[in-house]
Amino acid sequence: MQRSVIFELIRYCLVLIALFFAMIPVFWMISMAFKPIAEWTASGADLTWWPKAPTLDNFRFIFGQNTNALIVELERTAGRAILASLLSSVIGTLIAMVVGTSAAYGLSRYNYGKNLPLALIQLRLFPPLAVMIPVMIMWTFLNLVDTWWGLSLIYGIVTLPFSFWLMKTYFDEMPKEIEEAALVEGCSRFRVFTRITLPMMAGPLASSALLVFILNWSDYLIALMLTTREWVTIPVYMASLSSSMTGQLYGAKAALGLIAAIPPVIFGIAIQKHLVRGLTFGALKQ
Amino acid sequence: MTISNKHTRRDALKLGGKSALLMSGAVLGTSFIRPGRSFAADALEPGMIGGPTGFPGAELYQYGPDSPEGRAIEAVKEIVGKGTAPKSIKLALSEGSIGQLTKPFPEGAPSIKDLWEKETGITLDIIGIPEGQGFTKTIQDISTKAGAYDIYTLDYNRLGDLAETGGVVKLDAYVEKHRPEWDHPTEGYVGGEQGVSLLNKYSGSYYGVSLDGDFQTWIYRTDLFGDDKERRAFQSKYGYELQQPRTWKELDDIAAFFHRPDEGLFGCTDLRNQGWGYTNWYQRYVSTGSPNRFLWSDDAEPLINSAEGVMATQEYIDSLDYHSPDAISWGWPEQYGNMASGGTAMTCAFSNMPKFLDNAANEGSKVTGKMGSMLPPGREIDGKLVRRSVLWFSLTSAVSTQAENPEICYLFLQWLGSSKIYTWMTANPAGYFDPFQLANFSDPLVMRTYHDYHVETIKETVRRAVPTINYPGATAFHNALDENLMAALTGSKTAEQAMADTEKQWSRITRRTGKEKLVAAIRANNAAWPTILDPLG
Repeated sequence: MQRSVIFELIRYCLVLIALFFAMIPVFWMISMAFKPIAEWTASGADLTWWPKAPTLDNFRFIFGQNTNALIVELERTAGRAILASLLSSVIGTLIAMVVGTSAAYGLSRYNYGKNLPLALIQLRLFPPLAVMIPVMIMWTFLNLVDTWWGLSLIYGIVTLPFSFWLMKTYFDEMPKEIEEAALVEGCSRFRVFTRITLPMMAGPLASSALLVFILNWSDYLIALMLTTREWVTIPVYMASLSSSMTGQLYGAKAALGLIAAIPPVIFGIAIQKHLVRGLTFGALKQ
Repeated sequence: MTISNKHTRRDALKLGGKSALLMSGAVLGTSFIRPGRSFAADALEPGMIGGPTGFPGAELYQYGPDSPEGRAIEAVKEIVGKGTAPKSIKLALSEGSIGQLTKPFPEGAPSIKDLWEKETGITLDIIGIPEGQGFTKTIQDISTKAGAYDIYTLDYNRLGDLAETGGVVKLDAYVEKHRPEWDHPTEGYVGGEQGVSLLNKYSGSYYGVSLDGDFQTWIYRTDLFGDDKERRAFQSKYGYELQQPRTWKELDDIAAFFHRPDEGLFGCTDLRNQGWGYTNWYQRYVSTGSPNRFLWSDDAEPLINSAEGVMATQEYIDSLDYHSPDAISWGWPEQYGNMASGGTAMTCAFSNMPKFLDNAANEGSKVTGKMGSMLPPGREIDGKLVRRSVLWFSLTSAVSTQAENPEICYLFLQWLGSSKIYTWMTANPAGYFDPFQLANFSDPLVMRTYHDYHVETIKETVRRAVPTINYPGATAFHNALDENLMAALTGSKTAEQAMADTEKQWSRITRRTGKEKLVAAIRANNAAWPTILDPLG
């Protein structure tokens, strides 16, 4: 059936309008990141969409360089927070994906422990704050507070249900006949998993990993409670960017936000090839 | 194997060199570790044993051996000499305050941290806490026994809740032993023993050392108030002269007059958000009685569900008309940012606002040279004016029971919170700690940073400030009031409902906490309220 030109026009217009509204905060952040302090807030007619006097001062400021306009000085710079976020998110994602994928495959193929999938999600059944109190006590006892490995471990644990459930759905959708054919040919179950199943799952793996990474990357609550100084992550560090001289340091926050958006975007572009396939995997029943 | 006894000239030279090196090392070393020697001791005034040097007027902050500062330092050295002192103490501090300890002020001076470390040899390890997270981090450290901090720093009215956890040290013995002289008649806390009791004590015992003076202070724009055109327009509209408001009615009029959002100017920006706004409700409520309208009766019955409580709440709601449209989400960063950009005619804030914004070094501020301060507005009752402000937040430090050596931690706080060191510190524009001791208000450095016009206002505001709830359950009581006021501001409750519901929740919390425990604390709190009244003229 041919759709009318008017229908297509309306469709594209609606998409463009939705995109416009969705992009406003992103555009505002990018614009703010390059604005000098005088243009940060709505004092009179100063608030503009584009920076009138674009500057890199906000970026210099968060990395510890004194700037003329921002007379406040930071006690710590953003570099360490970026490192903490990168390290804990990447390792947390690796933990969640390796354990989650293995568990999902095992349960999908062997059907052991029917209640296990539900048990795995129990960490997400309660408000995060309720779970965090015992976690804090355990982490303190294990000397894991304010360490990158402690943060990575908890990220791996809390995002494990996501990776597990996503991957289990994908494994359930994947035709078992291909694996069975390989098994008949004499291939071991492990070899089937590593050489046949996983390569076929590149798309789902990539999209799951991206989702898990974004969850870890954007976490505020866990990092706030389990770090004190050395391994404070970007969201926690960003919350501290305010001063009595200027109020909220909007420009500095926007500059850091822009930097923080880079890793997920790069990750997304790098796996773009697999992403669409991953997101639509199993969408059509055989 | 043979042993040679022959000594060559080279050996003799080697030996001599080594001896000279050892001797000079020993001499130099002892000069640094000699007990009693303090930072740049040679530059100290005669009779002084410590304090800052290197800037004109430094002698004002130096101290002798029989002073709170001197006794603290001498006691620390004694403990260090015995070998029982820790190498460092871990101080938790809100991030915005750290600069006052780490940045030298004025030019040529050491920083507070440097001075402490040089005088005692104990490293001060300052751990920044994000704004608003002090209580959470403290309770986390106590409940998990993490021992991340030796000294906690949080708002003064949490002291009761904190003491009840058993996580902080009762300081009575140390206070008696080292005599901090917080109630000194000319240099100590405003209100003497009553002030000390309010800020440092809970249930009759010392648990904290005050490091702040967050007496909420009113600020106005002198450029707007002094503008002839504005003055004429105001006079013709309201029939009286434009001046600093004496009453809430006048404040409402002036704020409504200046409220011009299209021009980027709000009438008033005293806060209305969760967690902060209710301090401005307090001021309106407590000034409905002469000399005060208490929150609680002496037998722990809430008094807010009354005609006065409802009136204050209704005024609080109505005042949104001259605030920013998103006032209920504004915290102090938005408030300070707005004032810096010249966005309001009046506000009520921490006493440090002119320090940061009426500041030539702050090039981003558009209100430098345009700020004035005033006493809180009040109400006419029985021919007198009842003006009341409120003490809110005000950082206080307490020693953790997990500290390796609690006495050293206390001694550090005695030294830091003493009139000389605290005065020097509070003048430093690099942090939030504000003046609250008598010595602070006459200090030249404080006057320079806070401005002459403002220091007198702060001093008089302190005399008119009521304490917020600081007894067990303080957090729960404030949360209940806060939630109901927010509901009233958003229109989901009327002023009457908000007060009735707050009363219900307060009664429930009272039963849970134990009425007997509260009665003594409420009486102590009520006793600390001011009685000063102003003439109408």
